[in-house]
Amino acid sequence: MTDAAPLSLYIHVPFCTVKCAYCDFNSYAALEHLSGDWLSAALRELELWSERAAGRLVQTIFIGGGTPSLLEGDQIARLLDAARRHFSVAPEAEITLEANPESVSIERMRGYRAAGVNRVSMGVQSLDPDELRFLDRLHSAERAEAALSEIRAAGFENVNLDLIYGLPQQRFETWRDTLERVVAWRPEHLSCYALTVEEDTPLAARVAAGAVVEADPDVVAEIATWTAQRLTRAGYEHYETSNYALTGRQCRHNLNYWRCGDYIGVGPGAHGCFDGLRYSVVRRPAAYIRRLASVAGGPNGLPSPAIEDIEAITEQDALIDALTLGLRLREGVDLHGLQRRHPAAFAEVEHVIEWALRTDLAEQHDAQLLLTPRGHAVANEIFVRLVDPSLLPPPTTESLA
Amino acid sequence: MPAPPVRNFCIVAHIDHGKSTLSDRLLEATGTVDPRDMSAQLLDSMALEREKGITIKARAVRMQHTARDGQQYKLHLIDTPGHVDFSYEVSRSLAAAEGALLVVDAAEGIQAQTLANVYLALEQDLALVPVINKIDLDVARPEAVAAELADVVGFSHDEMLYVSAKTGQGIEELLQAIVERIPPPRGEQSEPLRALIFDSEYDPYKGVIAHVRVVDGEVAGRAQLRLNAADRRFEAMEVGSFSPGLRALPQLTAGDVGYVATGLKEVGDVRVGDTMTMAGRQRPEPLPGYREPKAMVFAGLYPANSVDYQDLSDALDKLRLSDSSIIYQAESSAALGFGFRMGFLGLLHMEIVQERLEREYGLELVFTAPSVEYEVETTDGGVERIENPSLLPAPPRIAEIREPWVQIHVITPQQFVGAVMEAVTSRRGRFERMEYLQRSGVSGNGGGGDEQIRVLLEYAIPLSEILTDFYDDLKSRTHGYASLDYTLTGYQPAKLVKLDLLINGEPVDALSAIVHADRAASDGRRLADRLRRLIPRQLFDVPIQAAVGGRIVARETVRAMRKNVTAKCYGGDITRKRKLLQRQAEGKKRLKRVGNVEIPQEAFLAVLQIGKD
Repeated sequence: MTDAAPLSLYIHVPFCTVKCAYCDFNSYAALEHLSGDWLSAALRELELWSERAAGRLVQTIFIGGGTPSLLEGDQIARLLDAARRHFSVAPEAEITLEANPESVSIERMRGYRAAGVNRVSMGVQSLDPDELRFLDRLHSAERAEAALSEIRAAGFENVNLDLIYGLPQQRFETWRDTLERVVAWRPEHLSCYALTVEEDTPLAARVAAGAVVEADPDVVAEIATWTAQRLTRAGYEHYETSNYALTGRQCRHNLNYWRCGDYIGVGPGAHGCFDGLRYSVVRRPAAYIRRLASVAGGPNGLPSPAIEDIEAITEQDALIDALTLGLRLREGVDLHGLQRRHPAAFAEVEHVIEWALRTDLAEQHDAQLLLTPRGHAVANEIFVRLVDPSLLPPPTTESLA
Repeated sequence: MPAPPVRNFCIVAHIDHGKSTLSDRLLEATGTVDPRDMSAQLLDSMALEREKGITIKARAVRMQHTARDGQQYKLHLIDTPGHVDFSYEVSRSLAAAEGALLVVDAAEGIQAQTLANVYLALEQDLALVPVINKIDLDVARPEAVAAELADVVGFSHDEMLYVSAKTGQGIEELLQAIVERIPPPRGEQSEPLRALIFDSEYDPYKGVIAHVRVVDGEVAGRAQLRLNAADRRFEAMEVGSFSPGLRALPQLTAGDVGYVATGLKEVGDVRVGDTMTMAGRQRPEPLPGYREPKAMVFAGLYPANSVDYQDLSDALDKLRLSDSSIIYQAESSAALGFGFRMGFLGLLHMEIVQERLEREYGLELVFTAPSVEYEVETTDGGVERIENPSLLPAPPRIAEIREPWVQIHVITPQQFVGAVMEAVTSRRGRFERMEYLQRSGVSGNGGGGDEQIRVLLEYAIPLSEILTDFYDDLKSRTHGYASLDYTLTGYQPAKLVKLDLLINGEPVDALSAIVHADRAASDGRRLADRLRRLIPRQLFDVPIQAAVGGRIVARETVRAMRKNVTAKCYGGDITRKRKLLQRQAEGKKRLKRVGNVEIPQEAFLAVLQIGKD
């Protein structure tokens, strides 16, 4: 018997050939010599979770990074074999592997396919040579196109491509050219991210030093609007703030995050959400490997000794997470369900929801609350008020009238 | 055994000309402080003072020195506040001494404020000892500076002392000069007590501690005393000297400098310049020169978060214990809620108070742009004093508005005279006088000729015109060489109007300014434009209008924001996403909400920049 609540599994591969200036993910260049020890540790961590996850059906697996496509097919096979040995993995499970164009080869892709991977997510980012150089990417537009052919040739029918817009001095034309070419390749899924300058990255340092000027927010807004229209016309559904998919090809793994489903994270710096706890695994690969060599259990009864931070999700956090994640989805959230599950927390934010409805940032269809296109564009303005409802003055008599 | 002879002296110096270092060297050379206990610049004890390199509070210290004649002397060094805002306090410190060391940087020469204090010292008939400091510097040009001092103040070249407070060179000669050239205190021990208060501090156990110079008579612990201007009686808890900490003594006698612990709880009762006497029926003539403190600059002060009002109120009460010259009263603003209108002695004083409130009391504050005090004669013949621009009466009620004028003294190298002239005349200033400081044309060793020649310029200018960026402008026009000093001269009528700012259609009282009628429209345009750049984009278009007498003179719009959404999901790191939002919420909380519009604190100071670009 398995529990109906879906479960996802995330496996983090911390290795990259170079670390890109904008990237704040837990990835490291020049640590490949640890990959053998990392694999052993990850296999061990999967095994440790086995008992705890018993009875739960794993619907999606995501091997992310870092650059998982630096690993050989047999290494991925050992990972996925272990996952299937220690978890109940649904036969139709979505199994994604992240790839970078320069490390893709048809042989590796065939190996991944044989190991059970059925979805590939590739970081293309841009097809403009100057932009690729700015982003520290190692590949060319030609390499990205060739890599996609190799992925297809290996038999993958579910492919996502990541793109980035809103670069410093971003011109609409270069973005349009990139997007038009990529649309012509017909990937099943597209993630179009506006560049975020994350703290403690080399890019942030360059911005702080004035060497790089962030993109004009109006230009970024124009691009976002145009992109949504262009991709919708091309048959892609804009199902989440930054994500587009052909029918039936939404990323089920990410949908589970946005719908606040449970997920187990394995590997250095991975995050998990399980049984009312959010946790993270120690970030440093060497520390991760060391901790998994110990026989100790994890904190708070969690099975992995590499788990570091744990946070119990309060009623209020649960509601805020549900709203700030769920409202990123076009489908929105079920208000009645949320009110029923978190009545006290809901009462705190009710006036914020009313304000969003009143100001046409949101709309309601039966119990379903969803953001308008305008609401999606300025979603953080709604979310900060949900996080701190005192930011919103009580309704004036005028607006009540 | 007769008491050792006394010498009382001040140090007059410009900021950074080495007054504190010189004081430290004197303390060391006289053995008052063991070099091992010496933290650099002992007398500037407030962190802010050390940082800004200025003295905010006067201090005094007693030293023992055996002179070349074998005689032991008591030397009282009375420190003086180092800024023009405190010129009254400086004058009282000078009045407590018989002499002053005029310390001038050997590279920079005499500065406007130093000269202003020299005039104060000369008025008091003090013996001046010229000290050319920092002679160890590579760029020192002591001969040129000596020539300048000779020209401007009339010293003879034999009088000059050449010192390096840093290396200690010339310190012994300086001590000898203090003994030889500064006259002993006059005053009669047999006369009834008269002591001049030149500063005060608050001690939680001893109450307000008055820093005094005993002019006549003597004072001992337990004496029944009276403060003349404040009309307060009290019993002295303790008297003593600064050595440099408080050291209790049986009594202070005529000529001494020291302290009297009053036990009084109100610092306002112990006023600089007041005379302390015995409480008996006999009332000697008070010492001359007492003046009520006069605030020159006013600003509104509000807690960034209105729940902190009580904390701000408490902080002001505490601050007043160490700075009796601040004045404040509660006021309220439609835009900013409850706060205070504060009066300051001058601009630097305002800056210091702002920094102390934020730093020492951890308060987040919104300050409105500083204003002067206007005299408004109303049509019914009354006179109102207006310190808050938003309270200016409606035009039909106004017969005349008068504003305070000051005389400014600027000292600058002569090649910048044109630039200074332009800075002053563009602010309604009038030229009054120019004087070459170095007629003899001696050139120093740091490159000679014309660029070494400096001039003293005097102008009359409305105080409001130098409140904001004048000093910065002066500095940039003269490559940092100009120095500035000002004194209030009186009130003059002017064509002034109130400039109002409307944000999202609502007038914002805290942004009102009183400006000259001829410039109202252009000031309005500049202010509206500046606010457009300071106010972050909101969810809707925010119109900004400037109005004079109900007529709109400028309009700008802060366009609605088009995008604010986090692009990615951080690989399932939901906690991080939530924390990012919490941080954004914290940032938003620091904005002031006026109507529906969130306004950052800097916007309320935009009026400050009204004359710029």
